[in-house]
Amino acid sequence: MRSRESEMTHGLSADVLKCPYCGEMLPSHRDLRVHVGSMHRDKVDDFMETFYGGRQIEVDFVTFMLQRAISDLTEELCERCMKCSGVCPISLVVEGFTPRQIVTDVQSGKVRDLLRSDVIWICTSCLACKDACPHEISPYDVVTILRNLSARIGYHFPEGYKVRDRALRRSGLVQEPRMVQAKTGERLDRAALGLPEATLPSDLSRFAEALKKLSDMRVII
Amino acid sequence: MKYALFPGCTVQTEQYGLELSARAVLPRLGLELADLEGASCCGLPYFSAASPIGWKYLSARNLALAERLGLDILPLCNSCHLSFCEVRRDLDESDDLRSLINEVLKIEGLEYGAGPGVVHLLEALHDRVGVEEIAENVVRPLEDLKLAAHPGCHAFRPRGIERPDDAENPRKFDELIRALGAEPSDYPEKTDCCGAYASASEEGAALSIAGSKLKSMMDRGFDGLVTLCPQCFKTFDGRQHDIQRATGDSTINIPVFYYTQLLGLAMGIQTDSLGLFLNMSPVEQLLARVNGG
Repeated sequence: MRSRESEMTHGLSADVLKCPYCGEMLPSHRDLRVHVGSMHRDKVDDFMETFYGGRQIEVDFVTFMLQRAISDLTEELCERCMKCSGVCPISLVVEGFTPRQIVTDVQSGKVRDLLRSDVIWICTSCLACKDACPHEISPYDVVTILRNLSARIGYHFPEGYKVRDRALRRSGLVQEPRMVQAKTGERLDRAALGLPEATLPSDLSRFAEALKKLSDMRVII
Repeated sequence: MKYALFPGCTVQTEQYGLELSARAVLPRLGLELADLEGASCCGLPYFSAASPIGWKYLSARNLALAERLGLDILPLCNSCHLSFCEVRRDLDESDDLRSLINEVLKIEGLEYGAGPGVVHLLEALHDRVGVEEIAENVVRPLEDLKLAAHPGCHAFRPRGIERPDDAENPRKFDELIRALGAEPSDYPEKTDCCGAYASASEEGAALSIAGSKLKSMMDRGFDGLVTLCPQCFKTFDGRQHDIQRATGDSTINIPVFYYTQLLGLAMGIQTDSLGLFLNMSPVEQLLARVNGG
């Protein structure tokens, strides 16, 4: 169970860096590209299209990830006991939202609708459903994958997330240090409070380069 | 005992009360703190929504920084702690992931080897300093106060990975409150979520969840709420007015504290050094009771 979950969430498996043409194992994605470029020169375009190409790869990736994510969500396994929905704090306040409904929608193939909807972004990540499920289905992990796929293919990524994403790439933190207001009305920053400067990546351009490299990386499954 | 302090985004950009009180209190209990130069966001839960591999990179780079200092990392946030524990497990379990991450870490001149220990503030206080030692440091007991412990979800969930407290019956926080001379009390909503992470997409739902928790604490006669999680504190303390508005219930009015603030108070440390003037909830009456009795 754990290894499946682990694969689901970071999108890697044991053969992640295997050359698709000769099966040689490569230590990094860059090495893989160099390898294909030198050993399988005639297949370069094919390779780039398949593994590093445009939107089609994302659609394939989505399909593959979902198949993997929902392969265990069979009728037999989910007994619809509603334990996940019973412990979900959002279910109490948002009408029509239950973790089980998301699982059921995935099971019945309504994935495209889910990816386009706000529903998958409401979860508070409290993990109560993950702990409550007697079959370890974890609606939380299903939601996490759906969010990831929705963001990757550009269907939906809420503004609150976008703002933090931009700040992180720019400064290393999801928001920059703010002035805060004391009860007296006085506005204070870290220095005024006697706190040291916030810790940030020492070389922000290298930090941004590393993040860009990872975001551009289409992890091969 | 020396630790690499990792305040995390929320604490070091706005939740200064936790950072001030932690820096004031922890060294006096033998928990020495080193700043983690070069640290960044841990990646959870925002960056992880867009890029799981990016999330793992962010946590790994902070772990690598602490490893370079040769110190255990001490995050001041429940979610940062969970993030570090999950990523450390994933790096331990997958050579592929580790080599991929290390390949990118080179850009920043970093390397993840065995990884540092990850210590939660709850563990540092309860398991390493110890409840007896804390009680011995109390010079001004917080007597006759009934306080609600709010550990926060990620301090005890999920079950599949080691967490600072027990998922069924989290007790450590209550024991730490009792060590200050105050009276903790079990209440059925103790392990309920504060709703904070819904606010990035569904503001009203987040405030409504927080409101019903605060209401139940007041109904049960608690004098105040104590937490260690900056997300929970930010919701319960900083947004109490918003909660009143969203729920239409102006009677929701309860003091909220960081545990380290109350610990400092009980140890006789000045309230200003503990950042108590930054708490937005109505803490004054309770402080007056403790200070002057």
